[in-house]
Amino acid sequence: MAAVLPDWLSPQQFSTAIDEMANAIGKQWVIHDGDPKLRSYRDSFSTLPGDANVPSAVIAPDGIEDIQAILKIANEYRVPLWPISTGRNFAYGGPAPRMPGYVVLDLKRMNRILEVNEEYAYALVEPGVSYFQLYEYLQKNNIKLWIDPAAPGWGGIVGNTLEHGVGYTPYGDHFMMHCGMEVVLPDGTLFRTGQGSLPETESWQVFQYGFGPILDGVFSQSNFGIVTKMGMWLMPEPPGYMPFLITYENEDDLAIITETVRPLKVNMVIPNGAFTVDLLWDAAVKVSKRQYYSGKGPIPDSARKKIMSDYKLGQWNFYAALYGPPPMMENTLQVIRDTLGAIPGARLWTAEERKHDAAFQYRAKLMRGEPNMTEFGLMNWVGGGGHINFSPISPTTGEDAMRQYEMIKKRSHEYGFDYIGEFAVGWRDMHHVYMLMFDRTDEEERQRAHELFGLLIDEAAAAGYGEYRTHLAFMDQVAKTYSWNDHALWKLNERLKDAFDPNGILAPGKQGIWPAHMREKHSWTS
Amino acid sequence: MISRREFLRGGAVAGIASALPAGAVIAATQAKPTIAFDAICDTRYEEGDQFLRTVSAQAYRVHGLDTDPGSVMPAIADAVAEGRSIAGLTTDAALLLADQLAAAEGYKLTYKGVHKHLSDDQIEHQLTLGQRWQASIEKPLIEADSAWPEVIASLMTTLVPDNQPLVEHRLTATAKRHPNSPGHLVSWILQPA
Repeated sequence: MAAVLPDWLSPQQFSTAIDEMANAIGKQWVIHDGDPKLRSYRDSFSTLPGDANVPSAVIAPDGIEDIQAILKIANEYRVPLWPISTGRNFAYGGPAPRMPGYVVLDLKRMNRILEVNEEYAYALVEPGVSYFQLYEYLQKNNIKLWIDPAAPGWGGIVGNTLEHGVGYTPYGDHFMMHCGMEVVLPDGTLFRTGQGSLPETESWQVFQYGFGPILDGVFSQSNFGIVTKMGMWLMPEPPGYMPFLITYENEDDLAIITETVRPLKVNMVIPNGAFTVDLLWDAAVKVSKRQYYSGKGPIPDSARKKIMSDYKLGQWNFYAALYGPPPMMENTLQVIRDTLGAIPGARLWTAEERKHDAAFQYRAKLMRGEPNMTEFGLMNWVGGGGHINFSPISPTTGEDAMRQYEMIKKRSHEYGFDYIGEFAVGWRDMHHVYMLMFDRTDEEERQRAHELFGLLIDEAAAAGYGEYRTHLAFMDQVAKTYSWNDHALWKLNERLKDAFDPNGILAPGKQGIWPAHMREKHSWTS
Repeated sequence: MISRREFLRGGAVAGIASALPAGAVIAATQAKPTIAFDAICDTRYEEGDQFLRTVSAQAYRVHGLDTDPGSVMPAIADAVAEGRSIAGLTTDAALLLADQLAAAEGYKLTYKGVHKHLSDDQIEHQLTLGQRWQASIEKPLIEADSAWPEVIASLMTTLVPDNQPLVEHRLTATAKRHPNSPGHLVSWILQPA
């Protein structure tokens, strides 16, 4: 079957461009023309129909020179490139491009761990390095540093950080913990941020700033450049580690949990990326919906109660951890018992008490920087493989938590889906992650999920809640909600796009930022 | 349900495989007149055990999965490294991981069955397979009741070398759901291109 191509590119132009790229970096690193390997670049788990967003080709460079050669050809023919690091986050689109026909620029071969400095606790990595890979490297070399993995450990460190992913240790804000980038612009210009711009520096990975504007953020969640190296701060292995779970009996407890946790987070009593997790999220790691309910629509309260009883879970389940010398942890744990543990109906569980609980165990691993894949088991809740994450941000207040929870739960129930969610509690904010799971083998259900997701974006925005990242299919809609002062920010993004990438070859449409030649068709800002 | 201990002890040559050096596994399996495919099943469920009992007689190696779907990843790496086909009865999550890893090495999904309990007594089999197998699979599946995983396992041996254009076929049958069944499993074959 002939590849779908962007409408400005003829099959002949495309073929010539791909041949030139293959000549530049080696034919074995180019996938196209019905090669079965192209299948691994789909997003087959989204709310989009069939094999939407299938790339026309994939090209895998091995370094800066390869990338520069590819960019030169892409500029000549205006071939749209979609860079990925490992392309593993299927809740947001995986490796698939924004539009069918783009050429995926797969950075998987650039998977070198360039430096690990145990004294200053950082690593310098290329974009193809996965959490598993860095973890295994540290273990193998007996380096006493912890990484902060995303829940699926096969994800890429650079990709997750650029997409503003969060983790579970005290280093859970990944972008905050990055230090120094190397970037290739669409015209091939290579530069380094921060201290990396000083030729003889030893400070690139220890000080985040340089002299002048801090440009790192411009290259996160954007389509202005390709990040080819990134420094990440790593956590020194602490002398002690104490994960815990507190279960809560009532849905309404979410408000008081959130109010109680805020001062504990702002004051760093709880140092790590803490999570308030809904019952079904925890349960779905271990059981499927049909084991408790075989009817249509959301699972009834009676079944929820049965799950709570069977697995000793709460309607809400708060996970966090303490780190440090044991006497300090014991003291802090007493503060936790006196606050979060004092909420009526709360029960605090230790690691020993939950040692056979798969949900506790995978979170305990994540909070000590050990990557794993257990959370993928969530997908089995309904079967059928469909899943997509809705992720609005709010301040850490009980009122906001309940408002978001009730709004999303009401709509998801109206549309026949379960509410399955968690609140990732940062220092001052919460990332509310609602995992919309659906049976992708059921066409009507897939369409219903798509409709619900679009509705949630608009309703959340109207209430003042913006999404911090989203699936490919909804990037324009989310971008549109950031509309203050007549979309001034997105108009600026478009000006930056035109300046950095005048031919519009790099990830057109990512985050709703379209290049000039596609703007008339896609953009809403003018 | 077969316990993990029994599974490793003797039910399947392949179960032993994960506990033995690779050389020992090959020695144990080379004598079997089989098509070279690995089998993967979720032994948390009765369906997985049923599948295992039948397929272990034919498979080069069998791998059991647990709560962590990531446990499928080393099994796929083993099979792909040696170019063997892979057949499975697993959850969707395990298939997602298996398919992504295998597809990156050029493997095709040449068969997929979605087995979905519509109620505690009724199951829908949604099969995507070579056209010529449609007729032969329907009757045994309908008659199998809750033993359907054994029918699927039997089919694997014939499907593995198959390379026909795929068609989708749905059928509904009476089948009592096992008490611990997740109610939704997928059977599948990944083959090198």
